[in-house]
Amino acid sequence: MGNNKSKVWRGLTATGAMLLAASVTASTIVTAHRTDIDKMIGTQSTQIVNETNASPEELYTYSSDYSSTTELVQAMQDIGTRMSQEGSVLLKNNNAALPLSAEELGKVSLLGFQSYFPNKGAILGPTAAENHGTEADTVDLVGALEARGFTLNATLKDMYNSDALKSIFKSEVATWTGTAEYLNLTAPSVGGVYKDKEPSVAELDSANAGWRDSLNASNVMIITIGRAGSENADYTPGEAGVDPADGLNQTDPLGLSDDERNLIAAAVEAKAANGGKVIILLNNGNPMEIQEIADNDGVDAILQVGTPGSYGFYGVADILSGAANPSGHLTDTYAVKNSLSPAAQNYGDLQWTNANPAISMNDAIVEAESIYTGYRYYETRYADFVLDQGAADSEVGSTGGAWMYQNEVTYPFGYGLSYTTFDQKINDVKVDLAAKTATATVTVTNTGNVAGKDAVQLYVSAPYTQYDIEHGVEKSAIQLLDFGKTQILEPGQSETVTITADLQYLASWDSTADNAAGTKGNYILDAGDYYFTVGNGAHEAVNNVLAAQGRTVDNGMTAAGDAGNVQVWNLAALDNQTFATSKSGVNVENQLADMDINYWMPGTAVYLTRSDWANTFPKTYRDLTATDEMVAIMDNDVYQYQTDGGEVTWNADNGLTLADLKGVSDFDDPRWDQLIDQMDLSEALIRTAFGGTSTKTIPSISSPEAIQNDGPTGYANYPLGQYANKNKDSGDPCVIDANDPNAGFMGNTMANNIVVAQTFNKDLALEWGKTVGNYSLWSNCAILWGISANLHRLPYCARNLEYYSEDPVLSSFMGAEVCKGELQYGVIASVKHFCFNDTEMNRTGVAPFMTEQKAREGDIRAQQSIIEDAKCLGVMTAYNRVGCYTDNAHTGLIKNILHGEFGFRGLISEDFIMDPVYASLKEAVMNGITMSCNTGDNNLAAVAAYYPNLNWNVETVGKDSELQKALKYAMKKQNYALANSNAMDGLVPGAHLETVKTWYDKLIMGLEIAFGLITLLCAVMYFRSKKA
Amino acid sequence: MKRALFGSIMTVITIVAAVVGLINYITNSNTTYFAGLGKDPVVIGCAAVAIAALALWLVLGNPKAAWTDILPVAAPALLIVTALTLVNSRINGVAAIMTFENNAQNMADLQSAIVAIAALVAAAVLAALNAFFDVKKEA
Repeated sequence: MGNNKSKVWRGLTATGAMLLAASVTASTIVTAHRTDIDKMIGTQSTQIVNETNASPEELYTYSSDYSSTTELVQAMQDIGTRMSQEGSVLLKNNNAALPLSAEELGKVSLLGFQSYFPNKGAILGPTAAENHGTEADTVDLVGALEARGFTLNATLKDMYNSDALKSIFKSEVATWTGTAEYLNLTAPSVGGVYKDKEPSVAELDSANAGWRDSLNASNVMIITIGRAGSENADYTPGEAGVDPADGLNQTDPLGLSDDERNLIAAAVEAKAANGGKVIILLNNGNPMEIQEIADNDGVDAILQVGTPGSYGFYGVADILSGAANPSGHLTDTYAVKNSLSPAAQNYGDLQWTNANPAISMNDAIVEAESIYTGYRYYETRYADFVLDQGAADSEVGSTGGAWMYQNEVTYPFGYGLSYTTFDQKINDVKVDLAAKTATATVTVTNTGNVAGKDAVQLYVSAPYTQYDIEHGVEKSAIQLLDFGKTQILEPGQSETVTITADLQYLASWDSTADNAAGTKGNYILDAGDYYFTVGNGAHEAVNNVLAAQGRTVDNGMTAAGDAGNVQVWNLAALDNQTFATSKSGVNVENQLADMDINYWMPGTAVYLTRSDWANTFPKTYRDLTATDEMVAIMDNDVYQYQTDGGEVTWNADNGLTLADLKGVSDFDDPRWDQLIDQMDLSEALIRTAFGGTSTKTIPSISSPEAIQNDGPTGYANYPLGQYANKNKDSGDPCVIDANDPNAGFMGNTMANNIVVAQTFNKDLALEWGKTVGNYSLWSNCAILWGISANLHRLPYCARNLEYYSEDPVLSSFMGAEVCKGELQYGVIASVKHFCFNDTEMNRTGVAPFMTEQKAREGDIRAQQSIIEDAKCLGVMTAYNRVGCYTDNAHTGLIKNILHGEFGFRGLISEDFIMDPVYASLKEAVMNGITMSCNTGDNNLAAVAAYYPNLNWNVETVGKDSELQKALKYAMKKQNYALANSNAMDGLVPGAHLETVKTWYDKLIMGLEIAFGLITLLCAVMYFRSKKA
Repeated sequence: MKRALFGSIMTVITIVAAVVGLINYITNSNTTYFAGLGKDPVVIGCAAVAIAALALWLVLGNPKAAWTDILPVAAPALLIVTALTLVNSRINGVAAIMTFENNAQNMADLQSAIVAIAALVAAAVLAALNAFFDVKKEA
């Protein structure tokens, strides 16, 4: 009996010991992931304690434009609606099919499953919130049309909502727990293929044999087709990107399938009988191949709506009804066959022959197209075709036979229709080289019968000279220099729009040019004539330029240009002085020479030049073998610790807290260095190693934690009420009630950035930024990784919808306006990804190679104004490499261009890189990056555990004075961003931080005590039973 | 006799589960995605000691030798520490693979971590149950 008892007590002791060990270990886990736990469950582990009784005005620098969350969320709905009113693009409108008459609103048939289950956003990245039960609920197409008074064909609505059809268009996406099901279309996973989901006509017949008959009474047939976009997804060019099992004559994932063709054909056939209309809505981020729809006379109208976010379908409905007049213009070229573009020749999984997953060495992408992406390719080759130069008419890259523009492009960049007509006249252009500006005045007149807005697109054609040919400088025949938008013009009304363009964006990078630094590499303006013009898109603009150069349709032009709408400015001699020094006062020079594959492997790549389209059109660079020298860099260990033993000040007693520098925007104020001198080296080591989902606190300077949020479409990580201040005695102007009806509201409601950019309306972008800023104040979240501005290198990156455009100026200027709006409300407005994140394929490790001209005039320029002019406070770097180096380790890009040339001052985070080696922490800090994206406990032991081979500790780093200085500089920049943001709201000088025991801390402590006592008790009873 | 046999079988199963967990952890530590994190001595050390304790318990466990009772008491505590330490080191990776880095290769890499954690948790629970049984009949 005694033996049995002892076994029981032994078992209970073991159980108690296990639970005690579990609770003790759990406390370690909780401490290591405290920030994330706090975020998930809405607790706070530190609190700010102000020593003085400060007034609300002293405590709170920023205030909202709204007095309640009701006003806030309704403002978000309002701007979301207006963004799609102005950002949807009318591509075709035969016989003024749109807008619909009042009678037609009563007989609408929605066809295609995407009419009922559209993509409002992406699955990952630029998502669209599903807000329900709030004061601004999410709406889809059906809901928006019904809310605006449309009457929909109930037969179709029931049919598409039937289980029979849902089982056909349902998508399954693999997740770590199994599969998730979506009724909307999903983008292929990286390396996957596109699978058609549109039900066939036969399947519709099977679902409801009467569906065709139902079209007679509802003969306004709106068909939605589209392609989904997402982060961590990619389309593969050509037939290789389509599921071979489909067998639907689909030659490209962005091209049409037979199921889509047949649905459109069925509607066109029905129209012949019922006298109705066929209207196509494009619910896409990636430009689709729609030449056959454009050519189809049975299709009356095409409206590109993008992925319009949580409220954009209201705007779409307003366009259809005529309540709004479309004024959007394409941000990307719609090519006949996307896979024929020069960039598409080098895209996808192009592995090194000596790829090594252990060091994230996977793909090499030679971007051999040089600067010729998007319209810069199509319009330049067209111009050369007309000018009969560079063998532009060769067959290479053509859909068949000699290359001709009209066979290659369906809708050009910048194109868009209105319900009215406009006349634009460029009156004059004043170039002021000293001020580095070109000021154009353009008179816009509404020559039609409907009120509306018009976008003014200021283009320029720079001379392509013999010097350029000899020095490897490429020139687009036409480029967007700047843009503006009119107010609503009544019929007959005119407005003169003045655009003061920054000539920086006209300059070309010449890697061979002398510079003020005494080295090589400079921005130049060539000698010759510069043609300034306007147009409804890049093609009309280049036609104007060609006309001014004396060309006509007899030279192969697709249409006569308007030579009278061109202003010419002549530069007598090549200028390599004006842009030799950046706005921050730094002399520019080559920084990215090692991004050229030929730098490492001479003679490997031929970059496309307009001087010889035929012989330089890119081939596919596959099976490249990296040299030992390249592999040594891709080993991700390029900075070696120094042991100079130089003195660096830490732990100074200067009596400052970060609150003493609240709102101090002078980065050179000596108090910044004094403040950082107070830090301990270990704090700087920990804070750079662990950033993760927030900046974390720094006790020595009372630096508060600032919550990070992702959100290209607005704050996406936490509901409005998660961190909102609910203390009505705090004096905070943005306090919410504990029962606020919008506490669960998610802020990621805006349309994708393509729609934002398609408005060509800087004021609207600014307004969106301000709305986000207001949301930041109410939600108490300071950091937003929201300005996604990578360039659309080609149409196949499924993440393109997160970014603005194929044009860097449009990207950068729209992003800059959003940034300015956010900054007004203290958001740490942040741009991403700096730079070259132009594919999702193997993005951790992919090595893009390109010329420095392409790098500077492409992806870097797409973010330049956001950093340089709008002065964003945050930058996120990229997963990808820059040539052989990890992005974070590339000194030329991060230290010399971002910090040096662009004068960036603020917080820089790595992207969500979880590999402690690929994170390149010491190299990143040397380049000025302020934190990684990893998380861990607030001690160096945790750092050592996470970075096991890095020696990121006081002993090692303490001997390297340059690295310590870099650490201090990083901390200075990060805290500079915080001090100039609304993260400081609630703090006044003298404020300090106190640790708070959360309920879960108390719970774990209670469990530890309880299990400890239980174990002890069981052990005692065990010994007693043994004795018995 | 039957109870002792049951206890022995339970202990063997527990050892197998712990070994499976440890092997999967080592496998996981060598996958492309997690290799950079290295091998945690706490995980390996605690698991190894727990397995040794269970093996000793199986061989030496005797109602007459009271000191051996420490073995089935220590084993579950060590195994749960192993499992939770492993969870701690994989949380960031799991979060990334669930979201931004979701692809077939990373999912495959994650698989061994999940198996390891599950096996170690199961081993810890089984080890605690073992403590209620002898592995040898009292003479």
